[in-house]
Amino acid sequence: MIDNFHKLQPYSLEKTEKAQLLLGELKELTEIHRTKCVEYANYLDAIGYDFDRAQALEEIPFVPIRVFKELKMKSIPDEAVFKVMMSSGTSGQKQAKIYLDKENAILQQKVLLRLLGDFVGPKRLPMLVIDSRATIRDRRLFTTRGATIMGLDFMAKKMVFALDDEMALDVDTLVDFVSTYGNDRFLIFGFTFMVWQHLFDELERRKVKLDLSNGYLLTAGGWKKLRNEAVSDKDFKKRGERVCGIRHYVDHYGMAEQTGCIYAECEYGHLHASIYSDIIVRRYKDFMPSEYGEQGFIQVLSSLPHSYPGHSILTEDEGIILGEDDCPCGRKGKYIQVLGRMKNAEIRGCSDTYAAMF
Amino acid sequence: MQLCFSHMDFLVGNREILEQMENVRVLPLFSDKVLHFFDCLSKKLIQSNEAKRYPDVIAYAFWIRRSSLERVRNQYKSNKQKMGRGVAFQIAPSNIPVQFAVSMTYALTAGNASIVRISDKKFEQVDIICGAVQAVLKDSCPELAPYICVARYPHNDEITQILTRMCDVRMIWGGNKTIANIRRATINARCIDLGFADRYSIAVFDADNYLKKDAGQVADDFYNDTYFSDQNACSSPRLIIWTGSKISEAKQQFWSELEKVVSEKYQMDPICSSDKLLKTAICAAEHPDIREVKESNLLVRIQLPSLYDDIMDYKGNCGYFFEYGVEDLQEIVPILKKECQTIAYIGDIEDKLRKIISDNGVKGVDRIVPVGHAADIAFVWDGLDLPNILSRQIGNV
Repeated sequence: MIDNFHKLQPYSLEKTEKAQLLLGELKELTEIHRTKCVEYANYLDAIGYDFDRAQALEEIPFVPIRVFKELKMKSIPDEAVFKVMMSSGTSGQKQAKIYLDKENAILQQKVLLRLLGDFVGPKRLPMLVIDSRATIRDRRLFTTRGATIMGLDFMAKKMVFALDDEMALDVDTLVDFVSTYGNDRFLIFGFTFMVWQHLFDELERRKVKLDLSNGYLLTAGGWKKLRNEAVSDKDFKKRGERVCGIRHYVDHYGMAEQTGCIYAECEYGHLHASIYSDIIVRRYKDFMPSEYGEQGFIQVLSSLPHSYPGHSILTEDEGIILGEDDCPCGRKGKYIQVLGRMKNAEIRGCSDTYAAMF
Repeated sequence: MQLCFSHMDFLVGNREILEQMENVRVLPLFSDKVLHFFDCLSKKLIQSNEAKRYPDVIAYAFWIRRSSLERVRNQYKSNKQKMGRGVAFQIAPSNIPVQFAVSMTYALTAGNASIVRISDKKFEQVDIICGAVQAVLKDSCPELAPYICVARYPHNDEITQILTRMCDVRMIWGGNKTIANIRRATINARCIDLGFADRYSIAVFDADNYLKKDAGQVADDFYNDTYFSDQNACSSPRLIIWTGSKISEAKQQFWSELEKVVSEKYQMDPICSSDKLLKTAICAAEHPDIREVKESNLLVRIQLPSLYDDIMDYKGNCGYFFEYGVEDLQEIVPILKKECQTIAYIGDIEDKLRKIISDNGVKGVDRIVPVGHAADIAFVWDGLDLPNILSRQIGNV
């Protein structure tokens, strides 16, 4: 029962207790999805999954993440679909589709609030979004960006968008926000690259002095783009403090396929798994669990997906488990480092040789 | 002349050579000049330290050496006069690095001038071969320089159209989509247009015969047919059909020997592990009774309870195999579709396979070769007798 998780502090369980709680829930989810999603059931049969064998979290079967792009992975009847979340595929790529019923959508938001609350405090705070309102206007065109922002809506006492529809920084709005809320704790949210380009660059270019020192900057992804410009995590924070005084940074790792269960970064730069979810890093060669400190595929486990079989996913991100239960920040559970998306296998097939070129 | 040629990046030849190519004289089939050029190229490559690191370059070098091409010339010897057609424009594929050179060899030996557009993907093999071609043209065979251009160019329908207008033969390697895209450029009325499209290949193994063979050797041979090109060449088997009485014993031995070779030699892109798992999920959605069997992600096989006739739509690569045991070889007829290119076999079954093909009027299968030879280079490819097709016969009747 997911309610049992809600009674606990989100980073309070040590290894054995957590495994016990999570294993029961994940086994149950495996069974539910097996009976309700035929694609999932067929997959389990094809890989020869033996239900009785799952005596540890490592033995919960996982699906490859791209399966949400290829197959209709859904464990609820059509009429129960409340929202379909799409991944932000680039043009020409298939988009992942995540089918949510109302209950699952609410659960995701509830858990997201609990987890983020542990980092920025439980109170709903005003939130400055470094994005344009246009991103969330058309709900049918929801992308991860829009969905992530909407997911934070609950978290915000008030949401203010810092960019106009043309993605230009709206300085008046910004100044207004700071003079109204700047003296107390508030939130800033944006994708890393957007914050860099549309906030830091613009403030500097226009020589606007702004005091955002009471803000908690939540970021999500977009590091790859910055790394291409040789901007490190440290550079980012240094510049944020210099340009507008930001001191609190909470980056996080998460994905549309497991919305809600984020892995947020503590003050020691570690991404933490909560009681609702877990991470297993697996070896490329045989999918056996890696040692701590050893790089591999990141597998994400989450107790939230009830309406689609996404409770155990093999991502194509590479990462390392840094430790468990002993982060100096005091949070229990595994903490990890994400190394980024794996290099796509080069297309070498007869097909698609270089069709993209013509 | 043609302004857009300035966008081309020449690895062999240059803009002037390209502009004059329509005016060069065609040569006889397997001319001495051309054979001499390839012999020099062969020697240059075999002596090159760089080339030694690439077995595919060395295999190509052996294929073009004088004795090898002389043998082919003898096979084509006749009292009929045969000459080239003119300019052969070729689009090389991006999956097989040396294929551009193989294609160029077909064009030149048939007496044509050759312009090859190569993939943007950088391969060291391409640079090594092009470097050697340049050196040979400069030092030993300057008279062939007007016949050879190898170039890259960015997305540009205009260049493709101009080159297409120039050519008498167009050869498009590289998949159905590429072929469709290139064919937007219209050919001249008499131009011969050859599309080397998406194909798949299979293997048929006689279990009893296999068990008498050197299992290590068979594993090495099969490795070369498949893993060597990431099981991504059209000629790489992706489905193994077992026949005979001791199938389960043979299977067991075959796969465990292959696993040994693979874990020793094969460097797999890590992402292929999840690719293979995804293939299984997609295939299982359509065919729930398949079973995945693996020791590691390097070698994943899917056991089929029956030979679904769409099974090749789910083919994978980098060591992803379907397998099925037949009672009667006739059962394979439904999968010998037009797209089926090569059958690699073990056992005394070649005649039987040929009979099945002729009795059933099968449209697929252009090659039947012993295991270990699927990746061989040949002058008859995809069922096309290229020396004869790329040249013209001056008749006397």
